[in-house]
Amino acid sequence: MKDASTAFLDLVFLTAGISIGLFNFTYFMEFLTLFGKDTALPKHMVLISNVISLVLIGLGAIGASFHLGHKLRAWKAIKRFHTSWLSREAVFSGAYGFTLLIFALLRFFDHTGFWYHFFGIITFILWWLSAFSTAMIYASNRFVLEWNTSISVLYYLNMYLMFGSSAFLALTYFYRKEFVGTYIFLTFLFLALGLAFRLAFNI
Amino acid sequence: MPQYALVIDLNTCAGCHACATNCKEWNTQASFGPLSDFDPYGRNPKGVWYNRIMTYEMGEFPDTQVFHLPKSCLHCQDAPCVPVCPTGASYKREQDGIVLVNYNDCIGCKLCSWACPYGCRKFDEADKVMKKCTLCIDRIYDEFLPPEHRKPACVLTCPAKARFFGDIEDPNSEAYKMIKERNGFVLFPDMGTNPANHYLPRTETKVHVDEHLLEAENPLFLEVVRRHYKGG
Repeated sequence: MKDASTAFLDLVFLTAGISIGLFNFTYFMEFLTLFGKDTALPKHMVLISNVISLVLIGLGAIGASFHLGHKLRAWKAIKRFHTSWLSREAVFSGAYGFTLLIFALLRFFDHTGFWYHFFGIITFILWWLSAFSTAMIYASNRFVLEWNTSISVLYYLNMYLMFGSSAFLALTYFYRKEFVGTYIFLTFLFLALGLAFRLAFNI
Repeated sequence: MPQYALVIDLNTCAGCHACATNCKEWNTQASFGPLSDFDPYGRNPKGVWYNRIMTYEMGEFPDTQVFHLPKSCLHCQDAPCVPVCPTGASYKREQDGIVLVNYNDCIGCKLCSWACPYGCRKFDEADKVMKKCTLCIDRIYDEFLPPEHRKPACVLTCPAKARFFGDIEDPNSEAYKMIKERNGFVLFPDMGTNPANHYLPRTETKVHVDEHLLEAENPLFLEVVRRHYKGG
């Protein structure tokens, strides 16, 4: 039976994973419009996606604090950025939430020009860094051999893409039905990759 | 750079737990205390102990041997618990190599306990911070204590004199000499943590026993004598 802190860790991965995975596909579609592709998303879809991502990353931060002994000191986790992957995760995920909020506000006020894409790209990079840092907390522990492998990083990134594509699939059903087939394929692709990692490497 | 450490003689340690008990007593009342205890006399006692003694049995019955391995923080020279700490609460002192935790900065994330391959960090459920052996830093620099008492509590209390303390980088120290003269070793040397605490290996004692002593009536005595019997 899982103890409370393990259950909270699951909650953190689920919330943060859906949040950043959902933003990944939302902005990816917007990004493709820069190259003349017809992938622009309706304003409501972008805003609903961003609100879900913001709420979930906020819930993830709250959930993460439950396994800390001193929750009010959590801000101190930014102090050892140069050595600690946990510190890097805290910095990158916090920055991700902040730039995501700006991105959503720009979309809300219909500023879809340079700054919209500037903050979209920054947020996109930050989510990758955040997810990579989370994975490295485990992958860098050289005394737990099951974790101490680059596969751990790939597994985490794939998990986030799996969550994100699933959530984005639900939104496309309501707003861009023509992409449902694509995202059903992507969701099952990432799911299959996750299962393959699980079976092949027992992680 | 000085590196204070414990040197523990496994040949002499009798597993009496006096070091662990005195460690608990000193650190509960001194600068780094108290150390929490939950249900200490109940069915499921829990609490913070800096020092533990693990007892192992080796060999096949009836030729078995028991040995004891006292283990506390090894104050690794490349301590893996230090860089993973997100707040810098875990740190290694330059002046003496002692690894400490700043309780005011510790957020209780427990990542350091994941990183320690020796399992030497203990989360205090009462104070909500990570705790560990301090090498009795509040004793060894205390100028109000007589010089011979400026040692860790576990070293002072060991009735078998199996524990030694000193700078393992100083050729004049007792700890340094013990390691060199008696082939001191460290736990898991291949892990790259470079532990400061050393252990002196067990050696098998062979003594000459006269034949008539083997005719003792006490079967337990006979067993002990047979085990160490080298021949008449």
